[in-house]
Amino acid sequence: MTGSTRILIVEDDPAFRQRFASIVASHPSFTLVAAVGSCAEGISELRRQPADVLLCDLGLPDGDGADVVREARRLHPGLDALVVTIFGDEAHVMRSLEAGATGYLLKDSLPEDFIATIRLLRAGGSPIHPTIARRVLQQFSRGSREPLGPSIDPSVALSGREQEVLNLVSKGYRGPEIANLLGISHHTVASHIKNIYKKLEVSSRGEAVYEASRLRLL
Amino acid sequence: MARVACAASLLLASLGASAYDLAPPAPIREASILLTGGETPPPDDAPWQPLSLPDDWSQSRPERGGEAWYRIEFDVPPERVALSVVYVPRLSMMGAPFVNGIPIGTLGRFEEPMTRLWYRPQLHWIPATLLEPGRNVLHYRIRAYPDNQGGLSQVYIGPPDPLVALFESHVFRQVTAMRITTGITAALSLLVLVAWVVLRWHAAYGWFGLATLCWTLHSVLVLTVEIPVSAILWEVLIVASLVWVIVAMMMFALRFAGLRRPWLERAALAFGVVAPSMLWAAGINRIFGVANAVLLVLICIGVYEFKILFDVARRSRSAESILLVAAGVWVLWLGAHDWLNRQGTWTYAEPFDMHYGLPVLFIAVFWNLLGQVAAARRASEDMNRELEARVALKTEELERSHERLRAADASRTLAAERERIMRDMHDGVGSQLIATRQLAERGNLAPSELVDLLDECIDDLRLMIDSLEPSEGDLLTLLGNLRYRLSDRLARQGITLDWNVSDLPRWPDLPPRDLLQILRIVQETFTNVVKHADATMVEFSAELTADGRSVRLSVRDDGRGIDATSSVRDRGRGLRNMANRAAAVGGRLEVDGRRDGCSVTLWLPVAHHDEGDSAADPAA
Repeated sequence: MTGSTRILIVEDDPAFRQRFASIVASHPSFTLVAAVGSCAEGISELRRQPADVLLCDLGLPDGDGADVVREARRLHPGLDALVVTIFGDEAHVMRSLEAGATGYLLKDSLPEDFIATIRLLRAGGSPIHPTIARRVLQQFSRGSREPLGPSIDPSVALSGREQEVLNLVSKGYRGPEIANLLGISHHTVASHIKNIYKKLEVSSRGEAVYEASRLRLL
Repeated sequence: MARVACAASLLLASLGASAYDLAPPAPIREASILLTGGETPPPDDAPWQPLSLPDDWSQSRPERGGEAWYRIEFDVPPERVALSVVYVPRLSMMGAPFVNGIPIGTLGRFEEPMTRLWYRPQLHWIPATLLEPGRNVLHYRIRAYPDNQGGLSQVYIGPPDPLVALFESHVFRQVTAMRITTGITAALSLLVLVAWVVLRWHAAYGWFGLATLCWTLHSVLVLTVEIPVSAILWEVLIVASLVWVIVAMMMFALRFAGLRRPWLERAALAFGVVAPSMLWAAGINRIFGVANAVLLVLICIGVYEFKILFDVARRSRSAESILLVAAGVWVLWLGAHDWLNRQGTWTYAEPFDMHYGLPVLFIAVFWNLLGQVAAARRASEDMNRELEARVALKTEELERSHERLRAADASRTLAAERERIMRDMHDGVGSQLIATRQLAERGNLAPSELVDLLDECIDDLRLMIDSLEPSEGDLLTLLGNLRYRLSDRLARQGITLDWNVSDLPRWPDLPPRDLLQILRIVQETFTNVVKHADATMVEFSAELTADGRSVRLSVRDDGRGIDATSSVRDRGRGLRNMANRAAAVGGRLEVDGRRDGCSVTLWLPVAHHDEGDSAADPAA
């Protein structure tokens, strides 16, 4: 990776927006693209200039942050989207992961966690949580149980290793421990997780197409 | 009278007779008789008694049985010598013709059991070699039982064409028609009896079937010429089968009309047994006199049956029952005719006609029964439709009430969940926030202490949110979440965490409230480690016990141990609180505060975890 990481912040709460902006500004390898407070502004910023990382709140005044994530991934396929949430509750996070986010941040994270997460992301890893891991496992096993479902495509099915990783995450094990238990490097674990997120995005997009065709929308 | 009654048969007979339009010759009525037996005709000089045909013994010589010879002289024109026939409309019981002393067409036996020709017109072709132009003699040998209408009708001798036609029409009317109606009756009988047995129809149908069966039997007995048993038995059977036709019809009529006449039924059944016995006891020489009386009784019973059917018809006024009454009238008419005929009321050759009557009545009855069955079927179909409609209505009602129950259930669940969340907020983050606010108000709270207290609030809030996830009893995942949140804090304190969990059974019926209590116990244990233990390492393990009946969660640190901590009282209260929480979920808490660290173990029963909500809330 060359140059500094360009970061766009979409957060409607001014205090948090200010906090995120100052954390980004304080780090030499990060460049703040913009810090805006609505979906519309976020999308127009994304159209105007590229970004490497999107930090996006989910509950925005003019819409769903997941839409911004989806649009960002469409405009800039290389972009990493991080969803900022207060509680990291499962339903919200899953929605944003399916929209293409590759991780999420708790709003009260310490600046160092904040920076570490973004760096992890840029280094090819992804943050994950036990409940999210469990939900992802369920999502994929549901897809494979439906013979006419969209997840039948083997390119978006989870590999055995990915399933092992998710299993361990869901039991509370963290990256280094998983690397140890599976006899692989920490980076491999991280890239597994990122891959899993990509598959989730692809499969959920396929699922949307499938659903739409089922409902005769396409 | 009987001619009117037999309109139908004549119509049918005319179909067969229309080919012959020659008028039959006049019957011969002059004859003489010799009351003697013998295989050959007596000589001309025997004491022949002149008489006029027909000679009906029941009129001319009542109670006379046995044999007799008739002698009939007739003239044959030369052109008829080659081709002449003898036609005798009726004789009884057995007879054989002789022409000029030579037997022609002697069929059957005069000895017992005697051949029964009483019901059959007789036609004989006279071999041409026997006849001479001019005067010839016909002898007829006759044998009969006393009172059995023995005798000889008028005799026709002449060209075949008109006589064969006459013969055939008489045969059709008496024999063929009887065979046809008997066949119909037999089929009907079979149909009704099979339906009665297989479809379990009402007993009335059984009696009706018995009546038709007996009539079939009666007809076959009457039509049989050569009998395999003694004459007396045959005669008893003939009358008895007729008795049972009438008795069974009475049983049927009573049931058909819905009447109960037990004494009458018993009397009729008794008659059905007594009458044949009396006939049997009378013997062959007296049986026909007894039979006359029996038949009179049958006619009376028949009139009574007619009255029953007439009443039914008057009530219902349906087309079927009117048909039934008409058939009843018809049968009574024919019954009276046949009985009177038996008494010699008309000419000797007058036929019996009941075989035109009862089968018609049977068909009318059957028609009625079919109507009843059809009506019953319609009624049951209507009832089925109504039942189906009612079932559909009930189903709808049930569904509605189910819907209401479901809605009530859902709103109750919602209310319970709302109450739980309120309680959890009140117990945890709510009271903590208020306490923190009071401390901050007093101003004697350092910023770092304030942050710690607020962190605790946020931690508890997160636990609540975790416990609300549809985790399907996956405790490990929730513990894992907790670990992810705690691990940074532990790391900042320089405490390494050894996470050591094995697969735990799913706990689908674990209520969120209990889940929250368990998570709170674990979180508080870790908080204590961070705050008080001064530890460098903490180990968490979760496993199923060897007996598989409980789960063991344990947190062990290498810190100072409980006894060495400063605020023993505070910690004591905290531990008591944790123990109460453990008890609330049916678990047990063990705290081992040794000098070289502290170990907190929570035992949770796995099977049938259902007491959680009913347990007292320790934090309330």
